[in-house]
Amino acid sequence: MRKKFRILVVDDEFSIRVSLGDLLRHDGYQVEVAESAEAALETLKTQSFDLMMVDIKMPGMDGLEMLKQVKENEPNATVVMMTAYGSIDSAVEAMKLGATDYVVKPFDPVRMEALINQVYENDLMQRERQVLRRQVRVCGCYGPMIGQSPPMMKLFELVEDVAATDSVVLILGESGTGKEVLARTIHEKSARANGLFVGVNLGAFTESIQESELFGYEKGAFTGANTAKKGLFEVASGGTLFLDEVGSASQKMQIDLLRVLQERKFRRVGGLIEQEMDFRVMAASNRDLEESVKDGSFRQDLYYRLNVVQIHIPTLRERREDIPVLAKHFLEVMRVRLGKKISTISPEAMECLVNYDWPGNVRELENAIERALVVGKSKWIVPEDLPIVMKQSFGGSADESLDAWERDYISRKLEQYEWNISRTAETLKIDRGTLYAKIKKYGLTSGDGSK
Amino acid sequence: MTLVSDRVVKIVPLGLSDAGLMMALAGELERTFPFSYRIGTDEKMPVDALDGMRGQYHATRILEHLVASDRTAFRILGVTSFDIFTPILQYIFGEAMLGGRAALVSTYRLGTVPFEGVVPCRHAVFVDRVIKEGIHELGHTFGLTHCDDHHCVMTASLTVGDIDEKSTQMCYYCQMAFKDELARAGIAQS
Repeated sequence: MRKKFRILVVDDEFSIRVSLGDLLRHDGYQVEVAESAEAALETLKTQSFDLMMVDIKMPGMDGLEMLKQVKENEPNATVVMMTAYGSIDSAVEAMKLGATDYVVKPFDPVRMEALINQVYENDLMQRERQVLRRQVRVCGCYGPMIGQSPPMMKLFELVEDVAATDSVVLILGESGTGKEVLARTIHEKSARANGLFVGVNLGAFTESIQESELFGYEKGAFTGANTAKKGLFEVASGGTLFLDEVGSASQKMQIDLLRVLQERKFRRVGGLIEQEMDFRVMAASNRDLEESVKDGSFRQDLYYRLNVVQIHIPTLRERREDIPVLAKHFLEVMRVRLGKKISTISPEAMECLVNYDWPGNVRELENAIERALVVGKSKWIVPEDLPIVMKQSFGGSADESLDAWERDYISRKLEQYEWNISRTAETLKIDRGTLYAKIKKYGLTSGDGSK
Repeated sequence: MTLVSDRVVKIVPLGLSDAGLMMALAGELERTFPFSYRIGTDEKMPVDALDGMRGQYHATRILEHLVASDRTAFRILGVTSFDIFTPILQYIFGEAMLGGRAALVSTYRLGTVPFEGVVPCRHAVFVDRVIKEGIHELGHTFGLTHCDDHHCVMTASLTVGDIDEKSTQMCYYCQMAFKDELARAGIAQS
């Protein structure tokens, strides 16, 4: 990673150039040296650097003049000035001219390491901010949520309202729709944003672990509890507790959760002291919890406690118009992360993406883009870079995909003509009887439920 | 690791007569770098490397002296009891030619308790530090740069406390890089 970080050392003293250059190379940085400010400015015409370390006192053009010229061309350039004892005034002047810092030669190794690390971390942060700004420009973003489709706009409005309250929120949606991302967004916009967002996947733990993880335990509460441990209820104090896959909670855990939500108090396992609940609860499930209540696998009273505000996240196929903007967003993020030059998606590949049904939703799209960047050989993403099932949805070689495509196409046309059968049939160049047959075959319904 | 017996690493004590320390160092180096080791006789510090103003020896000049003093050794590791420096830093524990033939370790600052100034540490701790710095500097001569893994011997140490925290072992990735370097240099382990 650090090998990509480039440093220019400018000093008229040979021994300094050599020793500083060697020192930085030992740390794995790419280092160029220049013996004068003039030579350095010449180098800067053809190369760019993440950090410049410039001596202030040099014959000919001095470091301060070089700093001025560098800053004129590139105001964000990171320049650290080097000075000898007794020339601190010049260092102060350098700071006024925009130097990032100054160091007195010879350096204290500990201070030197800290300085370079700080510059390196700042540089990383700046790059991340650039990526973020680019994301906002190219995407319709709402915090980390992306989408401009009508269902997502409605969702964003709901989030604004919900964030202002401390109510329990139940988030429902298929796998990969972004339930945790939505919960985090609500947390970030809420009055509890300064507290922690603690996520726990109830599907990932056994019953006993669920209990000790959530409630914590006192020393000696069970075999192996050699020390007391805070549970997630305590860790989340002041913040938000997000219970993912709440439908997977065991019957005992459901009773425990219900008790906490009703009494707003809890105790550590093996503990006597009752603690006040000071966290907001959000829960999520990809199961139909109402069904689970009906079949008895989920407690009705707990369901009512959790179902104060219900938010349903639409599937990706319900908001196909967001696919291009999401795909571009993932491309932008991934290409920076993977260091790839691919910056666009070909129209054919985009058509594959838009027409595919995305059973794995946004997560599947994200993975597909990452895969395409990894395997991609051309300057943009082409259908060949996508997994085979998506290409079929474009090429129509599989009957299922063709049906899905036809269903979607007819459905969109019907919506476009507000379910006016005659006009839709005319546009589709089929007769009304055929259209009725297709509507029946695909089980299409209008938004208000009428066929 | 299989020994590459035809490559000799020479350990040169500079103003330091401690045969036990040299033996311990050679033994530990062999565990990491599979070559033959020869311990030279104690030599004087090169006079031209002394910087009177700083009261320290210029490490780069000592490295040049070591390289010129033996044209045949595969690698040369100098070990000195004097304080050494490079012009850009106030002090260093060691110095090496990255991908070159010579490396140097100074024991001058390795014998104290961390953060306690001049309070001497236990001898075993001191020996452990010399070994770690010896492996570290010799590692640089095989092109290895500083490692981000704080337990890896190739991580940079700025204080004796840092040295105490790391192990004498190279991490998996540094071991891979070392093997690659041997392969690049056409050195086959018999």
